[in-house]
Amino acid sequence: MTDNIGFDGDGKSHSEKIIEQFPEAHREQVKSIWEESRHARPEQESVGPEEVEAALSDVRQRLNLDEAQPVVGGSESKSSTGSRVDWKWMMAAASVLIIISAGFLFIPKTVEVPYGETATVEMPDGSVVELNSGSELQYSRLFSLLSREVALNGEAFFKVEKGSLPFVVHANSSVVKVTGTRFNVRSWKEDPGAETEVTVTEGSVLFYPESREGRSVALRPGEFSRWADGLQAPATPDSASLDRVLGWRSQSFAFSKKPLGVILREMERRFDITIRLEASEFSSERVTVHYVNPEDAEVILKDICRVKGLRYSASSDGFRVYE
Amino acid sequence: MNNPTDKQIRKWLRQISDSQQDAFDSLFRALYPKLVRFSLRYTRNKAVAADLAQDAFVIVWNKRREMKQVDSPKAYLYRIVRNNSLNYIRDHSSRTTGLEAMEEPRTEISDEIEQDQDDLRLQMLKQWIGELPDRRREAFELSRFEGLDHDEIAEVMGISSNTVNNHIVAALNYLKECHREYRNEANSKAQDYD
Repeated sequence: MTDNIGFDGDGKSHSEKIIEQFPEAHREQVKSIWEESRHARPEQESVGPEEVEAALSDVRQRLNLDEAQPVVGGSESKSSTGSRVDWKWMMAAASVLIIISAGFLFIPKTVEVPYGETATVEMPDGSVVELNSGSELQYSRLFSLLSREVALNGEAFFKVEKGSLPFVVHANSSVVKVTGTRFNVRSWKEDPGAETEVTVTEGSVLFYPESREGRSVALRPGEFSRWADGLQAPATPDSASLDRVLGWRSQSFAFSKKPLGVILREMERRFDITIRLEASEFSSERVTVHYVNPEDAEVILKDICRVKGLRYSASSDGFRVYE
Repeated sequence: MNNPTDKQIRKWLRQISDSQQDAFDSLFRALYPKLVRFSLRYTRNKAVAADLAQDAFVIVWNKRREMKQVDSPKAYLYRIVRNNSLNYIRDHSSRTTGLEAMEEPRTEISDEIEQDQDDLRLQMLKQWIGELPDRRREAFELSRFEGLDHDEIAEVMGISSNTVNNHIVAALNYLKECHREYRNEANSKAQDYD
């Protein structure tokens, strides 16, 4: 059995160093108190997401941050009174350059978010995409000139600027089409059925399987729908728990009745660790969790194991979970 | 491996020092609720706690150019909130002085209701933590509830890392003794029933 608790690179964790200061005979008891005391926070008023947003907008106002930052730059113009130029040579070079850069324009741009981090991407049309850990977003370098299309594997929150071109998200064989609005898309290729879940917070969107545009559902604010490969059409829209769906944007960790396998994968991405589920028959068991700013993966894992009657231990790069 | 949250916070701070507003928003969303709750431990007034937490973020943005040199951005924010909270209770309370305002309302435990054993233990633990001397409890709570390490706590409280360690070990020792007594009592009660 390993007794490595934390993740401080230097071998011994912060917790171990403290517990080592106690006589051998007491260590086990001290360790269990140390672990448990993390949950012994006195009951307090919580700070809800609306409160956070209201406070943020107050602070932004105090700082005069509401108008967009001016773009600093401008070209330094240098007057060139240089030597004579060989025009033929220049033209040839220019056309090679044009061909190369035209080719370059067709190579899509890809944003990959490392595990343990989140990222925010500002699109050329002013739309903003927030990406959860491990997600990948791809779009054309010509984005917003001919069309506004992106491809997503992972989870993202979109704030789409209004525009004449529809904004289209392709997510594992499903499509979300909008004009200007805010919504969350969760779509992991590795999840069972590569299920895609769309939740709208503002405006409305059309959601349909890539192969059947006719079977679209329209989602309004506060609603969500899901579709997985093999279904004729996305599920009838239902009201969503926005706190839970959008929690990842504020480092929360919340899922309602999701398969254990899916939740453990999410933990791996969020905390940049590896979790081996040795009790593989538990992978499809559904679990509900809700943590506001969990300190580390163990806080969550401990509770899940308690509820499901599983056990876990630390491994060199994360945890293993067994019966 | 690093605590991912710390890694993320450092990344945001780097972006904030380049005036990236999105990073500021993200930092705010992640730490604001924690800082409000932290300030509440001192001020016991939600509106005041919210104001003080917001002030800390205003300071971070206004001093964003200097933020690159800050060792632990998290400790930096906690320190501002702690100092302002302590100033607030110093200036606004006639009855209490200093940290006495942190006094915890006692958690009542009813014997009638059969509580889950784990639940009961947690309730007891909360009570014992509430009984710790102020500074000792403060250090212990910063470690357990806010997830700060010794160096960060030292920076927040303005004491040495060694003293932080002493506080935490002493606190744990006290909790261990409480637990031992509690368990012995429970055992002797159980024997009475036989």
